[in-house]
Amino acid sequence: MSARDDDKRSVFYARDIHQISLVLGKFLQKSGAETVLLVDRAGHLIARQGEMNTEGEDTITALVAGLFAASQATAKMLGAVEFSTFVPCGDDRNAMLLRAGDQALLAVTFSDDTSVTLIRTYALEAIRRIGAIMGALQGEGDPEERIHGYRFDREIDGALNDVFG
Amino acid sequence: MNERTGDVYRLVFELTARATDVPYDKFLDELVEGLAAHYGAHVCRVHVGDDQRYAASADAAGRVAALDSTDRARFDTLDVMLAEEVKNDGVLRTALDLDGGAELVNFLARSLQTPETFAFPLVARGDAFGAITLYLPDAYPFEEADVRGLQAIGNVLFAAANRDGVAKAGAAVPVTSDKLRAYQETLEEVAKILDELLFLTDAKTVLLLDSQGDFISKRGAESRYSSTDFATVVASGFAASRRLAGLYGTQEVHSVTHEGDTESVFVIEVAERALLAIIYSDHNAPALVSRWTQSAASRLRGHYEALTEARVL
Repeated sequence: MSARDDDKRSVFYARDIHQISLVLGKFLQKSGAETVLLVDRAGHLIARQGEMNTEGEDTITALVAGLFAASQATAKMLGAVEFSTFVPCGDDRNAMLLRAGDQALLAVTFSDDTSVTLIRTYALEAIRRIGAIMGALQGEGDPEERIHGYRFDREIDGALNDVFG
Repeated sequence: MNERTGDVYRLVFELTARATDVPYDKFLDELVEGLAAHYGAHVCRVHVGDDQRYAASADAAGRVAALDSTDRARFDTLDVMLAEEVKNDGVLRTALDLDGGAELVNFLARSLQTPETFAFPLVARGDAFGAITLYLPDAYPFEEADVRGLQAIGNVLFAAANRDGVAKAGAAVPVTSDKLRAYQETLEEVAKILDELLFLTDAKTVLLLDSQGDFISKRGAESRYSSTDFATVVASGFAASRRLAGLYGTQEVHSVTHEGDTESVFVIEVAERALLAIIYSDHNAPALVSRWTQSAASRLRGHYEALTEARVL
């Protein structure tokens, strides 16, 4: 990913975030998931989509990062490169965490009515497209646009309808 | 997971869950009867080891018994040949794969009304040691899940057949104190449950660990990583998952699955302070692994008090 390492915190440009949010919005629309967070390795929120109580958001992203670190350590011991973590949360709710490049993690919540395979398939596609967006924009952008863990709340406007074809 | 896939795994789980509760011979009878009912087979047989005769047979309508002696002998020979073929090369076969296959199919269709035949290998530890033969009236839409489920039965049969050996393997030095003897029995029982889980799932490793990350017991292959380190990361991941679920509005996290490229880890809570982790390869059926692990965790829960008292937990 093209996130710049600035004091060990991922830095993104607003337009990166905008495009990433569009991808995440499409992911929700296609997969039927409830919420999706893109969190960096340090636990900072990069982007999110879906209805979510924002009060405990910082704690959630920190825990996601903690779980990410534990999952990564587990995967490393098993000699795995790619990995995902599935957590049945009870009350008809599930969470899935997937590695998104080297620096980030995608955290998805969804109900029992939604297919795990469907979530994984669309999540992997979203991760691939997010990676492409970040890769394409690497080295570009106005430093004034830089944001740290930007919370993007705009509705999907369909500007990148070609994102998922 | 589609409905039929779920049905197959439920069937295999329900059949195999009895493996540790009933005598081996009875288990075999229940196995072939359950498989025959599920697949609508007129006849189902299981062959184990080098015996030139089936170990158990289900024939609810008595079709085989109703054959004349010549046809019955021919059917028995055909059944053994099919089982031997499968045991030799470890792959699924039908009667058509035997010499004179078309004629044999005609014979089966005429005598037992079962033109469709399938024989599955029973595999454990990489070797085919037996076969399940199914004689069906119609074609059955076998899927990957059916093959995985029937293959999983191989591990269970192997575990059931070697159950005495497993129990004896954990035997320790006799002790005189009643309390120590009780502790020892508990630990042996725990070891037995872990051994059985390992056999049933054909998993790589099974770990019992403290929720604080202390490694308690391990069964299976030696790993290239430290079991203590592994226990620590598994326990920390589980703790983070539970806290995360709490923020999503529930405390009911009982399991976590880490899926890797070729191996996965299923972690389940045994009790307040204990976790059971199982490392399995992607050739296993995850739904069956999780069911068997849940069953083992449930049995371990029965020993939780004793383990706590013995300060194992």
